[in-house]
Amino acid sequence: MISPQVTIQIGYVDRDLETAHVTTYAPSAAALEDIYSLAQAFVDRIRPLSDAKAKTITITYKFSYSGGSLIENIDKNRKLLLLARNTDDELSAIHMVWPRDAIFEQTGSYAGIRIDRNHPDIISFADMLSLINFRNYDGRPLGTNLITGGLML
Amino acid sequence: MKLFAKNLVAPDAPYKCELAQFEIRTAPFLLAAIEYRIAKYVWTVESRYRAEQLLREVQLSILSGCMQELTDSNNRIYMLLDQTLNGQQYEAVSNDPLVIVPPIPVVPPPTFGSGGIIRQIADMRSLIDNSLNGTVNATYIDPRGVKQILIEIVDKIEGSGLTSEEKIKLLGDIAQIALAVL
Repeated sequence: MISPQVTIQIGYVDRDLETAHVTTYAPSAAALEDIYSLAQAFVDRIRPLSDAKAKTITITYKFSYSGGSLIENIDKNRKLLLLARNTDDELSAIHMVWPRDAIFEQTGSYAGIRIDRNHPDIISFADMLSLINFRNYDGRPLGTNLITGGLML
Repeated sequence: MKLFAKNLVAPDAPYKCELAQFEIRTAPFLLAAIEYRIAKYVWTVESRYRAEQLLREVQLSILSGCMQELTDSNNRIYMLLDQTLNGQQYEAVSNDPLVIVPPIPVVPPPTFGSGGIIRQIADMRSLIDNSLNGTVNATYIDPRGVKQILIEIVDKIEGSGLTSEEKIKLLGDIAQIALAVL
């Protein structure tokens, strides 16, 4: 696997709610605890220099990936909304860009609008949801049951 | 001009449902419009997740979740009636996605399965018609009905040369045998 670029970004806010960021980098081989300690050290050293309030520490592992290929002649920006339900009956959304025409229903009123849940690529995607413990933005289980999906314009 | 208000509070329960009519081809625009309002900054921190769940349910309805449930329940009722009345057996060959075979036909089939009420009533009617009248049909082929058998018994007794007391005793024995059989 290619080593990621690890970015530490410290977000600041002042009394007028203006925001600014301090950005630095860390070695990718370092443990997450060490990277976080490094970020806190930055916060501690910057505190005497600024009246602004440190609000967030964002640690990003950035991988460069060159898989897949673009299809040419795309003339409009389309997005796909996928809805999954977890065991607590909560809905979560997954967004995708540039959905392929083939994954939508081909006949009926929802042709080209709603995903075809019998399409093998959709079935494969849904199977993946049940295998990996994905989480949404506040830590709740994303959901293993892909209910439906539709085109967003 | 700010397009959206901020720090909104999600509507409180209890929630009541309503069906709304929309042109299906507008669904992609409705989904996207709702998606913008699900943005976290629109809602107060406390009600953010509840608001998302409410709006996601709307998106689900737009993608026919609501009507699909209604049509599915209609299909389930049809299959229950079809199995009970016509004897058609249905089987779920897959649960996710749900695939039931055979598909519901546009018109009911002209023949009835053996487990259905209609077929069983037809069978009982054929049995009674055959038993009483000797009518031969596809299931029951004895051409002698009860009436004919009784006539044959009476004729044989009349030609047997028995005394009246013996005839009465013989009829009594036949009646007892018939009752035992029934």
